[in-house]
Amino acid sequence: MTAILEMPRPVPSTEPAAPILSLQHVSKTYGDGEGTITALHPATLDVRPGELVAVSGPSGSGKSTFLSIAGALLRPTSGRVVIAGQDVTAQSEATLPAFRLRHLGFVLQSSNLIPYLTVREQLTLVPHLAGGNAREAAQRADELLRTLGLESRARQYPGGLSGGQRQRVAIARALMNDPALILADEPTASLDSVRGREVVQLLAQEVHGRGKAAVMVTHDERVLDLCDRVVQIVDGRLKG
Amino acid sequence: MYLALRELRHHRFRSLLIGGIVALIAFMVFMLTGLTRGLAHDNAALLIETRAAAFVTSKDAEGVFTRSFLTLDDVRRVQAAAGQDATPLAQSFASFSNGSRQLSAVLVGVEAGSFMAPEVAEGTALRASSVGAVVDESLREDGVALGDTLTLKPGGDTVQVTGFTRGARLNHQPVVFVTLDRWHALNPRTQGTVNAVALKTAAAADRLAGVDGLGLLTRAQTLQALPGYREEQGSLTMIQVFLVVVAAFVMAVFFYVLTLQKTPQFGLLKAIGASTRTLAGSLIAQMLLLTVLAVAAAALVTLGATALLPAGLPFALTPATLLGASALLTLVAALSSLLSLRSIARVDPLIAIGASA
Repeated sequence: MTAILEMPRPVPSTEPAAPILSLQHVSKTYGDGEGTITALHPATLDVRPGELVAVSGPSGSGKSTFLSIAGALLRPTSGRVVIAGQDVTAQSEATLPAFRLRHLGFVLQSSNLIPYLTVREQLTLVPHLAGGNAREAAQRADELLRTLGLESRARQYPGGLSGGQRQRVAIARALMNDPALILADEPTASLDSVRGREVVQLLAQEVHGRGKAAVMVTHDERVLDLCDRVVQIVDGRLKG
Repeated sequence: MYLALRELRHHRFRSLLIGGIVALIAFMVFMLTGLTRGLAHDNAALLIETRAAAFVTSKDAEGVFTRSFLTLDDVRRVQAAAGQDATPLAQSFASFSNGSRQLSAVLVGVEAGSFMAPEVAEGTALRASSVGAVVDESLREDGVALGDTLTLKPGGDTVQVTGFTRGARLNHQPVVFVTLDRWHALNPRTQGTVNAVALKTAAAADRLAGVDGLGLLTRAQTLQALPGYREEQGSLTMIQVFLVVVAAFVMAVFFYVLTLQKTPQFGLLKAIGASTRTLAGSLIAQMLLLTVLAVAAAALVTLGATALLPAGLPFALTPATLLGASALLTLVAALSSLLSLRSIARVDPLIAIGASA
């Protein structure tokens, strides 16, 4: 874990770009008093633009809790979550969906796509929900489908796609709103090692090429070498 | 609408099935409405379409004409209080033959020229001196024609048909209108009494408040007091209410089960950033779209079906009634989506993370 502490004076030339995701002493406990269960011990993590960070650990280690907090889906018991310069922990519950819609991209493991939307519609759904311009959305969707090699699948429904193709669509969808931060939850879960690597390669390529910050939760050790940084999480404790 | 339309389109068969159920129920509601209205009309068109606002009967008659006996003195008292807007009315049952068939009817005595006197669709209207009768046109189906002589049984008195009128049925029987004098002549035992006094306006009824010993019922109350009317309408209305409730339940449960099945999907959509409001709007849009289409289809089929109904079947469905029933069904559909809305509101976007780990 890179220990980013409050720096009194930033050094201009060597200072790395400001982190897009900054978790500061974030913890999560359930229940109180005697029966307290700690899902996540105070954790601190910064992710910068163009950086793909893998959070790896066995099941039940707190990966999902970690990702939920980083994705503004779950409020931490203590600590601060700053995404794209905004303190998410200070925002009200009601504003979070709109915040996620604008600033975050999710790539989830299964039930990831809407069964009754075509590949192209999966993508245009995001700007539609955000109330964006339909023509711009269509342009951007076509562009993404082209870049990610999904052009020929644009009119197909998820039911007709392979697992790898579905994850590619999910990555394309996560990029639709041009988010600062991409959160991936076991994107390789139901894929064989070749397809799994392809998906993570694509994710890494988009993150690097577009200067996004990304956190990928995984217990798939075969893809860790594609990530810029790997942090381990064991029993709710994050280790750099 | 974006999600709503696409989901319905993608699951065509499923949409067709639920739409079909709603359409069938709506069709049944429409047909029953037509039948209820038709029967009401067949039973009591005279009281439904009358220009009278209220009726005076004797107090113990509780609005039933055949149980009520007013003396001519009572009639004068009522007319003194209510003025021109009151006219006496006499009613009895009659059995007669038109030469070939034995028929039955309600024999009603009215004052010629009063607001209760029938308007003729064909022939001549009643005059004070008339001895003939203006009869309901439904008697045409029994072979009665203008100028026919009806022989009352028992007794053998004869009445000539001088005119036909529309919408004059009482107790599921056609009405035969004669003048009050003629009616008394045909019913010799009732000399000096009538059954009721019709009041043209509610204001006339108000003026009557001071007159003692008489019962005053509005037109609607009189209709309910008509023997058999309430019972007949009540059972049909009950079936309709049940159908509407069943429709509400079928739609509520169907969409609720679908909503529960789609919980992971809603979780995902919420995680991406869809608000509960968007998802709820989508569900309501689906529900309304399906219902409106299904109800419209049912309305068209009903209109087609009414053309095929046998002529004698009492069936009456106006466009206004059809629209009213459609609006009710649509409203019920909207209300039945509330059950699903609650579960959509409860979906936590967190379930999208680590969903099938």
